[in-house]
Amino acid sequence: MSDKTIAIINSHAPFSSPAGKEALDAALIFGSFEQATSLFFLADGVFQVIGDQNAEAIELKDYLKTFSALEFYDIENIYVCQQSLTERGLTANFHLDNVQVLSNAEFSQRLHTHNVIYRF
Amino acid sequence: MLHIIRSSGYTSNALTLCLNMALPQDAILLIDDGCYNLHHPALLETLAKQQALSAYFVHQHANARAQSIAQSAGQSAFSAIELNDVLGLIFKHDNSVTWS
Repeated sequence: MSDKTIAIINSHAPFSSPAGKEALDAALIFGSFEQATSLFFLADGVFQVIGDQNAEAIELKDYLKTFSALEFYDIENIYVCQQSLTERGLTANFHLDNVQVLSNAEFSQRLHTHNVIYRF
Repeated sequence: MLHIIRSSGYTSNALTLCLNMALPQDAILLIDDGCYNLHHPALLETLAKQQALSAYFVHQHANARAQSIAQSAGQSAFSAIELNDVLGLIFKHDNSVTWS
């Protein structure tokens, strides 16, 4: 375990690539080692956190439900880019609690405060 | 923060994401296909606007792709470096992000 803080950037939509699930798996692994980890949702990554999705309709395993495990691993810093939501015509309707919607500048500044950054 | 770009901004949104997240004092490093961005209008525009932002590219990677910097105003912002200099650049910054 180290004092370094980890940021995980999600920038892909949930179903067409494994990136989102891999990012979540990585976050849960870091969490199980009590490593301070924050999740950032940017660009198409915001499609991962919107509500009312139905993965079963396209016969996919719904990894989005696993997001609810984050709180048990003390991963509470979940940031969503307001500009990315607006560009995609999305409202702040999320399937996660404690999501913080940040302006582009705030999102960037928050990202800069982390020691290690992974992008998925 | 060091932003590493490894893909062409003409097919991937990596460059755009990076430019949206870059703060003054950050640096941008073009490697591999990222060197195709040497003439990308969005990158040139950002570098012209944010003078404190520095930009580097790996000379061998650009050379292999027949990419070079012209002497126009925006492009003097780029510094050509060798692959060996990349490590130093990473350690010079507090953190880095690879936008792929």
